[in-house]
Amino acid sequence: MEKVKISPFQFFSILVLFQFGTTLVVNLGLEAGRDAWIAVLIGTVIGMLIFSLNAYLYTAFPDKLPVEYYRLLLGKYVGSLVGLVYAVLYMFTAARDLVDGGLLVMASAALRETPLLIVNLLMIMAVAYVLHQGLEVLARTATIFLAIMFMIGVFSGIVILFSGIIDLQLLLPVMGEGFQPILESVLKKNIHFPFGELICATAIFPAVNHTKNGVKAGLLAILVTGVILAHVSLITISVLGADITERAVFPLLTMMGKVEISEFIERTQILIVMVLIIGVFFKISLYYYAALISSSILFKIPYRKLIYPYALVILGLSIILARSYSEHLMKGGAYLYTVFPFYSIGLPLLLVIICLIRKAILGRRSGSAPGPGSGPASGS
Amino acid sequence: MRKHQGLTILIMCCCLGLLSGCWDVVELNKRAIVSGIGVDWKEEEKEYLVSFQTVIADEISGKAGRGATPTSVYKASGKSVVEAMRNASRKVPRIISLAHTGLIVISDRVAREGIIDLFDYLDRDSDIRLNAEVLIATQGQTAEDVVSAMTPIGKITAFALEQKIDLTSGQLGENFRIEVDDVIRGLLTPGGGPLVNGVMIEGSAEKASKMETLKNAKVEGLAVISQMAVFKGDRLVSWLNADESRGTVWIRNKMKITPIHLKLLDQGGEISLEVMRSKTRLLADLEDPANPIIHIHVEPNFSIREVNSAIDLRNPATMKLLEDAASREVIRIMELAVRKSKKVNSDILGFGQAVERSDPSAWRKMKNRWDQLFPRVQVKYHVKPVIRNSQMRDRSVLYKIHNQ
Repeated sequence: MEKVKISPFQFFSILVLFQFGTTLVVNLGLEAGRDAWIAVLIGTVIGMLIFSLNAYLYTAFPDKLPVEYYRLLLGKYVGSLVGLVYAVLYMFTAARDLVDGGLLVMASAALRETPLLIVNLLMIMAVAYVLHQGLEVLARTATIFLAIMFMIGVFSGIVILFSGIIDLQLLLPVMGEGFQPILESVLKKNIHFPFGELICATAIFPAVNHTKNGVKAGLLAILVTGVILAHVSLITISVLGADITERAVFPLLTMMGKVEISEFIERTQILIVMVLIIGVFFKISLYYYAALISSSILFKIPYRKLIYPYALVILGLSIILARSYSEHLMKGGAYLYTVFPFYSIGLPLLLVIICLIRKAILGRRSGSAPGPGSGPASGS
Repeated sequence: MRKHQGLTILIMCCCLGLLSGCWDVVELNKRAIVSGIGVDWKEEEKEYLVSFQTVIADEISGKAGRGATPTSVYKASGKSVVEAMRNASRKVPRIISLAHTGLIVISDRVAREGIIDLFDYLDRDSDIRLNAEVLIATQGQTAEDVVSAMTPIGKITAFALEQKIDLTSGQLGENFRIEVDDVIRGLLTPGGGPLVNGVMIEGSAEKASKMETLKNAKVEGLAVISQMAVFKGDRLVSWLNADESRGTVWIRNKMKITPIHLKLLDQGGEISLEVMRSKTRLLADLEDPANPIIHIHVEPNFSIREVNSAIDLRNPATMKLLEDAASREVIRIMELAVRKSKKVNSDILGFGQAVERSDPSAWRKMKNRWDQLFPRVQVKYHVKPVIRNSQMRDRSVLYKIHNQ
């Protein structure tokens, strides 16, 4: 593995953009209706807890990639198998996000003749190119795009406010249907999407140059994204009402379409398409990178050699995954709360437990209590 | 690097092909920009007759104009709007582009048959934006007449009508902007329906569509905004009259400016007030779940505009008198709206939402029988009027004459 170093701020930027990815534009907390924002906020808190699991493993093994500490904790063969499963999972999710991005771009920009393959090809080429340049370049790109996203966010906020389309009455009553729909939404969606997906951030943890601040940056990224996502869903519902938001394929895009300031500032939806493309780009990049770096350790192949074959695999997968958007969403929804939690919550939890037991045993053996990180690292 | 030079150039050339732009590009000179859509019903064929008001850019920019009308109307029929649009391709030399549609006119006939299919299309379509204004053509007139009408100020009728709505909602208060998403939210109201602005041709519809009408100072046909149409579910059931419209606007808290005329009993004078600003809140009282009571709290601010009476406007007691009279008038107007909406049994006033806001769990139980409950809802009015000013004078000339 090459020695790349990224700063906590760059790490923060990547994570924020990663989480914005598709989440910002698609439906969030469908089941919770007009209380979607509450569901997102609860999801954020749980997301931070899940992230802490990964963060614990990271502080225990600050210089090791996930695959390496899987091997350490689960034994060579089981660990490698788990690493392989994760690599496949990451690649699959990268392909799913590529489809997401492609379909969203096609629908939002009203591309009627352009084949999905071309849209996906352009995206994966851009991602592959950046990854070829290395993680540092991705991180620096992230900081620039974070600034752009920030500007778009501020501008959108101002125009929405001044076009007077917000009707706060549409948000009332709060929790009219009781707490159950919110809970359902949190369990089925908001934990895993996007916060559970941060499992793939473990792949770039070792590159962060400051362990403690890295963890802080990660937690802060989740908090910031969660609050912004809740805010966005709040605004969308207050503009469109819960019913239209629920049926909309891209509520944010539809909402921005309502913006009109004295027949001068209008059609600002294009900004949302931009947000979408930037977000999807980072989402695919991170999954793709996680898959690459895990496989390169597993198979002992330099990761640059894997970039282009993997790009082809992801592109191919993205074409055969789903025939229609509804099929894609249906599969995605099911995958999100059946298969995915096992990998995003189950395995990290197991690893943390093993790690704790291991530390206790090692601590007893050596007679002194090593601090987190120093014990297991010296044991390897 | 040098040995890869040829390869690099080759790759860059390939990339150029990708960077040239959109696969789906349609140049402006291949597009017919539609500013307004009119939807009528063809009885014999049982089909929609859709009229597209297309903008003729040459006539608007002026230089290349032939002195023809700035807009042209293409008609086509079909079972759906999309089908009509495709059928229109036989007539229009360019791709019909709906992205700039600002106005959708639906004929009274279509509205009475139900608009849910139409609005699914308008909601779903990626070109038409939710900001498009919706209007219903008055009984006996067609939507086609409306989109074909010429407009003296401005060039494109559809955009002129949009401005008329904004203006009249701000100046008269018998209408307010209703966009596609407002209609959809209306369709989803339990026991209610959307409320849509009306439009009619004043004068001759025939002459309104001709360029000649613009050559006269007295236009012979003009598209004007009329009262609002009430829907029950997705069907038009009734039209409001002026006061009912005003009451509805008031209860929906969309009132900006409206004139109010008061007849004073004891002095026999008349006074015109104007509402400068008004705020309405609906509160539901559900102590007896079988008989919900709606409290309407209105806080209008008035300004005195015209005094045909000898009352002393310097005297605070007179102001109190006027405020009381004004509040009775406001209640009268709102009562008319409530009576009408109860009569057609359509909750266009947002009472259901008021109940939902104050007690969500009770609302869930009564939501399905809101149809039966709504006509029996009791309404209590609480008006807190304030007369802010009397413009540039206080006492009137009449006062001076009487007290000399």
